[in-house]
Amino acid sequence: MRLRFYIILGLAAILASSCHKDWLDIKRDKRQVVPATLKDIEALLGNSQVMTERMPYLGELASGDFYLDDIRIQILDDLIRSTHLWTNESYGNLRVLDWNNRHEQIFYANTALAALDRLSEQSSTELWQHLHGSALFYRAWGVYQLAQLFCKPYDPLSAHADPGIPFLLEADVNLRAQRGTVQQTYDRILSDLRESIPALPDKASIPTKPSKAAAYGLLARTYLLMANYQEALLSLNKALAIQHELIDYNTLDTLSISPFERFNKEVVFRSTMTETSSLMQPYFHLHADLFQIYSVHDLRNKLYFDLDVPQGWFKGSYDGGAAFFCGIATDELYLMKAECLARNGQIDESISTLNYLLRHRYKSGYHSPYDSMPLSDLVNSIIDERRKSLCFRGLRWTDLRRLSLEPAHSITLLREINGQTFELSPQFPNYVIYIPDVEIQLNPMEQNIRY
Amino acid sequence: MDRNATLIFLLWIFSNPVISQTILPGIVFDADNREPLAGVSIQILPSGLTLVSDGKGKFNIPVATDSLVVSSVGYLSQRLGAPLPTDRLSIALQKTTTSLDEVVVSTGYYEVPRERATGSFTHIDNELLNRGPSTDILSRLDGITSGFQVDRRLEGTSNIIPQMRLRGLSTLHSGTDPLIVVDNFPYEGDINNINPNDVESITVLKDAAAASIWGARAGNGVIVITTKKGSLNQPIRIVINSNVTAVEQPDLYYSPNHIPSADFIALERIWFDRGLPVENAWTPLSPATEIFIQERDGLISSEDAERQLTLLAGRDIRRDIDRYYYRTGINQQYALNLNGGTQNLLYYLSGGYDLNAGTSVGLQTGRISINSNTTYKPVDKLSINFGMAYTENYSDNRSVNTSGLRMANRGIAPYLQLVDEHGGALPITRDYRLSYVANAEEQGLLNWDYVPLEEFRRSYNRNTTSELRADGGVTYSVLKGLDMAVKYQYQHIKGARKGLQGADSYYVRNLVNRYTQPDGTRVFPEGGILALEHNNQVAHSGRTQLDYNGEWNDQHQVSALAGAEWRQVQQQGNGSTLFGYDDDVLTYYEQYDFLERYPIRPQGTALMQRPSTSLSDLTDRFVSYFANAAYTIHQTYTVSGSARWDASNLFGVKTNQQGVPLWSMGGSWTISNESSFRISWLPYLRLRATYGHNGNINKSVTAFTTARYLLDPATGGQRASIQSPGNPQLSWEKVKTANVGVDFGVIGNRIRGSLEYYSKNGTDILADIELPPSTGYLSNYRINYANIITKGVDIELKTINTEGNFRWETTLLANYASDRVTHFSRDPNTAASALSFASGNNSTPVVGRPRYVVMSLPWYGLDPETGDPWVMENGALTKNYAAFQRNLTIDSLTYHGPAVAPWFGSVRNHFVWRGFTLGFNLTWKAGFYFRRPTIMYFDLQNSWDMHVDYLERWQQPGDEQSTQIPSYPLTANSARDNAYAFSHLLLERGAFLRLQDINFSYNVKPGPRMPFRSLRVYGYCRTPFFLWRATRSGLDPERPWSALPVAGSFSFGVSMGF
Repeated sequence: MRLRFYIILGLAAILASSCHKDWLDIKRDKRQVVPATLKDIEALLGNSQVMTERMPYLGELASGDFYLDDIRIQILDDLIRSTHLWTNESYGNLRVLDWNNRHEQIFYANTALAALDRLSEQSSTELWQHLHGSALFYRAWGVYQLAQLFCKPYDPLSAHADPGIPFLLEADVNLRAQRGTVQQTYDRILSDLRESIPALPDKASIPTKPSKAAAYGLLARTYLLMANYQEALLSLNKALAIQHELIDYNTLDTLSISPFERFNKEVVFRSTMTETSSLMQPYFHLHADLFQIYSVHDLRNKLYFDLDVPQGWFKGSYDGGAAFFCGIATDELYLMKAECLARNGQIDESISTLNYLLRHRYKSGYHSPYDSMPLSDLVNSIIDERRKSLCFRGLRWTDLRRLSLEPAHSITLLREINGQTFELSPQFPNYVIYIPDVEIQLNPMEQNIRY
Repeated sequence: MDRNATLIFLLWIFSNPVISQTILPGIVFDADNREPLAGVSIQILPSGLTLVSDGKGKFNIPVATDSLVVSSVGYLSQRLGAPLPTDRLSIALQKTTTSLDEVVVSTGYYEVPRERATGSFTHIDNELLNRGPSTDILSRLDGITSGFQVDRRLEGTSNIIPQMRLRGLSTLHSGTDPLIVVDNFPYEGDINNINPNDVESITVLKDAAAASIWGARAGNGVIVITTKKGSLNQPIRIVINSNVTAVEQPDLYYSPNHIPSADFIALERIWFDRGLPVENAWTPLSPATEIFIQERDGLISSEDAERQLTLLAGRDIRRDIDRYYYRTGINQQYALNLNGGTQNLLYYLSGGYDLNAGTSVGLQTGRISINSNTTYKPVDKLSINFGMAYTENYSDNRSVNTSGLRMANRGIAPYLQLVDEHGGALPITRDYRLSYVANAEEQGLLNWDYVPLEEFRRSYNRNTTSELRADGGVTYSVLKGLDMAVKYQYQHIKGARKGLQGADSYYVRNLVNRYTQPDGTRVFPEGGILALEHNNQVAHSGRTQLDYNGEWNDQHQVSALAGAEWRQVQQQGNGSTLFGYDDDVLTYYEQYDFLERYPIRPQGTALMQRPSTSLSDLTDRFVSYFANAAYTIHQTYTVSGSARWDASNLFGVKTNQQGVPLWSMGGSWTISNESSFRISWLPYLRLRATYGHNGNINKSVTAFTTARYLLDPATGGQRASIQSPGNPQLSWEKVKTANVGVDFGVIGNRIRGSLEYYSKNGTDILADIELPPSTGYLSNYRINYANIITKGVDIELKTINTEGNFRWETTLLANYASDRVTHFSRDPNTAASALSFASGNNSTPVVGRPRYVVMSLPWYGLDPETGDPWVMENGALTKNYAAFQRNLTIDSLTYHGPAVAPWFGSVRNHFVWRGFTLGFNLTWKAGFYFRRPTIMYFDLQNSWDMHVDYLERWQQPGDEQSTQIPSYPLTANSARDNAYAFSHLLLERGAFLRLQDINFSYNVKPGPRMPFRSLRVYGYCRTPFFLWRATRSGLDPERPWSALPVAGSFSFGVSMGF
């Protein structure tokens, strides 16, 4: 009898002891992490694919530096066609990578910011500061990219009324973003950047990571779009004070199929576009308008274009590969500086800045510097040099958009497909892309207007 | 063989004349299967002395016997009168019809006679399991298990494994497969590791009362596999079983995805004239296009071109594929088992060997299994059980996939030629133009030809899985009727894969050449590419259980149990790839610069490929408490109940802390046991009803915001990718099941059957909601919020049509299972989802409809001028297909019916005559629809997806009288293709009646002189024949998208017992 008693007792003990909560608290998948430590946040922000790659390519498709040929334009989807031909066709339920991927970037940045908030006791450490600044910069970068496609160009007269970019400031998938105004969108970019600058290091260990130089560069871009040349110039001077090196194009091999190194010394912040080469290359035709504007001794022509490929191919990506570079580089900083100086009336300083850059772009001894000229011509020249230096960096579209608001400098684009002529003129402002239908169906908001 | 038996046998042979004077030998066996019957009582008249037959059915009676009464439980007693035969007696006993009902069902926790079980069980006995000789156990259930069907819709379209469904559907995204239990514990391995020859019986638990004891994993039902054991006091028995199966070579001509070569060449001409093929030095061009180019460029004359094209038009690639890629499959199966027992020891020992040569040339799989089970009872109150099973499964795949014949970015040209007229293997165009790779060797590159027939045996893929399962248990009878048991199981599964792309394989040569630099440097190393993968799974399961069984005054029966269970399953894996591998000396190359961008051939630049590596480590833990009780009074009324509490590391924090119990209750009333019940033609009638909650778990979701670490290719540092935004509310899916049933036996129990009605109400079902992309989480977000109801009826009817020497039994199964999604918070009313419903690939359900629906777009006919399909927009016929598609809503679609059969069943006939048995099984399904494939011009043009409907298309005005297939358009556009392909014209009713299989066997009549106890020869034929189908398309309604039809097979085997 005693034996039975012990057996039952033993059994009861086993039953009772089994309820170990700890035993069940083990993580199921060892590879999964719940972002909780600074190291996790660093890895999250170190996802260079999400944070620096797959940037919008629709702007390139809509600007005038290449065209798709008659036959292939029909094979490509509605989004590509309507963007390329500036029509008002809806593109239905197509997935819009340019929209989705930037919101994913913002979500990552918000997740990092939320995790950093939970670790506020470490906020005095350098790493925490760097990560905080990086998250803010990346969010600004994402919003900036969206603002080049999905809302109207910044017009000081209507920015308070024009619908802006919907985006979230918290990592909560249950929240729904609303459009707000263009003013609010640009204000957020500015405030995120301003907040990030004190936290960021002057230069980053690797240019996929944000730095003060990058933040000042993006700040300058943003002010330039807002026509605030004074502020833009202040930022540019600060950026150039940190990083001002230029490559002398004479040192590069014009025969190379990728003449520029990834992370070369001009790269302030590395970012690349959605790799559309597989989509575009067989259909891609370099526009003669573009490669014919370079003068004979301009090395950019030979370093940027592979004219042996029948339709021409752009090989001048600052990322060294097939993906088009769209980050910030010192050549852009100089061009922005020249323009801001010009617009502020400092013509001579502007011209000398421009000439300083161009000396690094021409065959040694063949550069004929710009002489003094009237302001309007100078701005047009700078715009041309921007086109020549910054082609296929996503900037041409941005330029076309902002210039459409300036009758003196605006440009009309034409395209001819199957005998039909398509036009994008400043008076016909299809400078916005439709917000994806899927977004509007799941999160009702005002759609953009195209004509 | 038992030594005593041999001795008696020999004695009997040599001393026959002497013994025969006093003793008459006899043997008693089952009239149907001719198995000798042990323990049969033989009463000798007139003396009244009673003998019992031995383990081999043998007995000896004095010669001076007048007559005998032979009787055994479950058999009709037989009286043999004078004159008795003088040399020997063989007595065949017929089963009594009612005896078949004495079935004990096992839930993996307890065993209960079916008469006392309130829940819904289907028991598949050993004989039924062995109708066919398939090497996997689960395929034997199809067509013989009430309420069970396999959803094969997607077979042939992807690598999706057909889904098992027991009583319809109670989940949206979690697996629909039932929980599989092998000897008390959930089975975590590959079910193919279980050798069917070791399986004694299978019990399928279908309702809450049956399955709730398995708690959070029982929502889809449970399949309990019971393996063979020894029996007490039984001399050793040896059974040898061997069979061989021939599997028909696949019929390539079945598939409608084909366009004759001549028509395809004509199409290519159109594409060429439109300038579609991209012409440069390397982009691959089809053989016909190359001829067009040569003709255009004046390199060959038009006549030459015409002649060459005519040659191409006469070819058919299917002939070569048929000849070189497929063969008749041969499966061999050998099994040996020994079992027996003494007064206190039971043992079972078996070995099995399977060898299958698949229908793909170069594919071979095999299995070796060893299994043992011993129970020792040192004293009455103690029983110790120990079992060990080891299985090794391997596959050696040296076959070459026909997808290798595809031209890059396109498809397989129907006129491809794999051998020349002398039988020599030919290269084909694959990734590059033939002219581009032709002189590769002169440029210092490796040979760059893709010669399909030379690729066989250059590469292989070997998988080996070994599984060790050891279980032990101790049962101690603490008090009378109260048993305490401790059980433990250890399972270790090791998987290894070794995949080699040989140094001479095209795959390797292509990579080496692509990375060969202008100066001839080989960045990508020569040599093989070796992929190694190792997986390790270790499961520990432990259980303590108290069982009580009591009975008073023959009127009250109580059985109850309670216990706890712990379980941990840890899976670890790693994989690596080695480049430049030399299989002879096991060296490889590993000096690479992954950050350098190299020019590659034919154009562009690329980074050096990184050899893939992987690591995984998963741990699942479960803790459960369970209890179950049943009380039967007067053998007429039974009430039962069960409860279970589950916790696991899978669920959300909140759920883990609370641990919601799952429970069931039920009752039954055997009306025919009431003394007032007097209906002579209805000897058995029983009503039962149950209700309870089960669960279903999904391991793919997580409660936390999770990220996964990877290497960042741009920086070489670590990066994290967000996997899930997290869901702290995550819980398992709950399924409330109600079941009412009636069991009956009519006319001396010659007609027996059951009728059950059930409803399964799934709540908290995980469903995907699409988030607006602006949330930044781009995948579907899965949360517990949908509801789904399945209602159904299971009818099972067994009739004994004739008895006696010629026995004919029929089993009829009729099942109805219809699911309906009752709650889904967002109506998927976007045009994209509307289109997905019409295409049949809807990932979200429609409220009020079955989970998988067949819907169609409205059809407005063809434009008689152009053969373009009309679509309607704003009340007018237009051809603006894109706009039409964009504006689609779910309301503009017509609902036709479910895509998975709600009605299904089988009719199985079984004939027995003098040791011969013949059976055949007809299976049927009805009430569902499928969409048959057709020509999609966009896919035809871009990926050469062909369909014979192309030949029937509209070609000139007037054709619209005889065809509705749109014309081939100038510019292919998938929206235009969809207008026809998703219309009701392509919908077919799925109903069919198929002859699933025929089996026959002959049991040699046992006799004392035979060297074996039993001998059975059998054959089995799995047939692809339809007796009737509603569709006239010639397609298999169960798998309409499969390019290959179901292969028939024929098996022949012998089973011997000693």
